[in-house]
Amino acid sequence: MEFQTRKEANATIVTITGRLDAVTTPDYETRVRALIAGGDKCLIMDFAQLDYISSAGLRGLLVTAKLLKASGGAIRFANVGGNVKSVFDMSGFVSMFPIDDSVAIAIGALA
Amino acid sequence: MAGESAEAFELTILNTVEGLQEASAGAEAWLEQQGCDAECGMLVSLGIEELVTNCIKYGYDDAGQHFIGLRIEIVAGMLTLEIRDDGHAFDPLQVPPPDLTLSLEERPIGGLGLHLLREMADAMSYERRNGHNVVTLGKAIAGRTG
Repeated sequence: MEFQTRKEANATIVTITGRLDAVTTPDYETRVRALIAGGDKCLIMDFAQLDYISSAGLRGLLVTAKLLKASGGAIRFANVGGNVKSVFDMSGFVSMFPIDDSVAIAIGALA
Repeated sequence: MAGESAEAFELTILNTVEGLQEASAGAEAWLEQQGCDAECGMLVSLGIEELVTNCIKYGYDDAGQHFIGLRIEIVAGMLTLEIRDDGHAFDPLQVPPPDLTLSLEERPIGGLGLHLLREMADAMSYERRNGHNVVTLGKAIAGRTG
């Protein structure tokens, strides 16, 4: 799992590459908690390079969303496809979170 | 490889994170050789991760080493994943499904793993056999590229 961030407008774009599973999610959580503790409030999760997500990954995302909600922030997802989209569908995440076709659209929605 | 004969992958791992990684990598490589479709690959990856993780976390009272057995088989267009462990008797089919209509604030953290497997598999069964939990997941293979 690789975790990269960049800022655009008032959003922080988090690009996750590889797998969000039982092995990698603790590392993801540590990094995302640091971002939120550092004051980032609007996160866009770019999943174009995410190959695989399990319930451990979903758990990490839920923790992220709850933390942001509590701090008055927001989370959006972009480029959710393939197996990851199937898991989002089955877990009801598609109806719980805003999901956009691209990072640009997500940035526009947060502006 | 003869097309008619049963093809199987078998592995025994320890109840550790390293064991889980070994199982995932081994199963993935084997499935690639078999030319399975992405959905079958996903079911196996998730099946191994969710069931082995549950077993490591909740299966045992002691901190000792335990063995978890895996078997993947492809017979007549049907993929079967079987996972055996000697932990506490635990029937995953008895776990009630999560409420997917809850809002973000109300959603409990966790409880989605077994739900994903039940949704994704065409068949799921449980048996307590000689002091072992045996969970079996099955899925019809959509198309084979190899």
